Amino acid sequence: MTENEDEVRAALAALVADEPDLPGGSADIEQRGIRRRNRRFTAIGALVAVPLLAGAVALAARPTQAPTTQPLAQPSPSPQLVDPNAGTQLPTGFPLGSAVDAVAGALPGGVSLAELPMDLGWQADGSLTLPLTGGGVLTLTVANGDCSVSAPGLDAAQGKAAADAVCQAWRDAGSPPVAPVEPNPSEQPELAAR
Amino acid sequence: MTDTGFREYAADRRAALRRTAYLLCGDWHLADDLVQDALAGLFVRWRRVRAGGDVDPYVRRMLVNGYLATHRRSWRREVAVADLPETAVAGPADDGTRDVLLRALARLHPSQRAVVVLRYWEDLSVEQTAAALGCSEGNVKSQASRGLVHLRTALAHSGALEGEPA
Repeated sequence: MTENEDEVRAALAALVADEPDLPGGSADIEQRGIRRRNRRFTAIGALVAVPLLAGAVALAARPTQAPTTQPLAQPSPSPQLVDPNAGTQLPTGFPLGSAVDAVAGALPGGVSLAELPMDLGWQADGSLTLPLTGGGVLTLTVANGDCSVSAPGLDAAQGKAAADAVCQAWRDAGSPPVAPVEPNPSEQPELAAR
Repeated sequence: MTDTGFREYAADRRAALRRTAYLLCGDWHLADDLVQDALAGLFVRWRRVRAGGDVDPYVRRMLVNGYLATHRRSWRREVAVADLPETAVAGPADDGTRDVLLRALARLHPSQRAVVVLRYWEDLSVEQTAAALGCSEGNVKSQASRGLVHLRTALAHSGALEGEPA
């Protein structure tokens, strides 16, 4: 096999024996290498620049301002918040519970309120009728800034004490109109109006 | 802008690389292109390759890859034909052996031709040839053996070898 290899080597050498002159020098290869390197850098730069440009375009296309967040709920701008029902659409008035508690706490011994009826409510003249345990009814009136309480078994002093207690509670509630006042139709919410 | 040492290396090795490239492709012009491509690629990575120490295997591999790439392209310039075209002027020492050998080389598969050239022209070991071609040593051995037999037969039939029938 070695002989064969030598023959082939000799034949290959004969093939390149008539080698023509080398074209140019090494400088042109360097220039070619420089161009290739520049192309490489350009390609790398493009690979880096394209995502950056895309990101910049995406950022530029975004809305300039984020949507402003609206507060979900804000308190009504009432200067003096004395009505416990303020901020709601419910009719305001002198709470029945406050009036009943005040008068029940001011009654003398032996006189007490019975179970309250379901349809308990202020009358148009500002009076409230409460049943007594021993029978009879207690009439409580809040009108024109004055309070009065009358019931069987109560003398004048006891009635005045009970009336003062009711008036105190009425003033603590902000001296509202006794009967609930419906809101002005123009102020009613749209849903309620419908 | 000159990278230190590249110009000297290129000037020193260019002719040898060109001869190897010619044996690979059989065309001096294409050989020049292959060498220029390989050296230009080397220029781009010159500092790193030189720092690695052995420059020749790197260039050789680039050269072989470039040659194999030209064969993968559909527009490759070299076409293997049964009969070579007539040359206008024969070389002074050309007794027909050259044409026979060129024809025999052209009939080899490109990778087989690369094995033959690297083994018997560059005198690379089996291991070095395998590294240059990126294939196994067993593959190099079998390709070299078959290529050698093919060339030897072609030369014997041409009568170029002493004592062989023409």
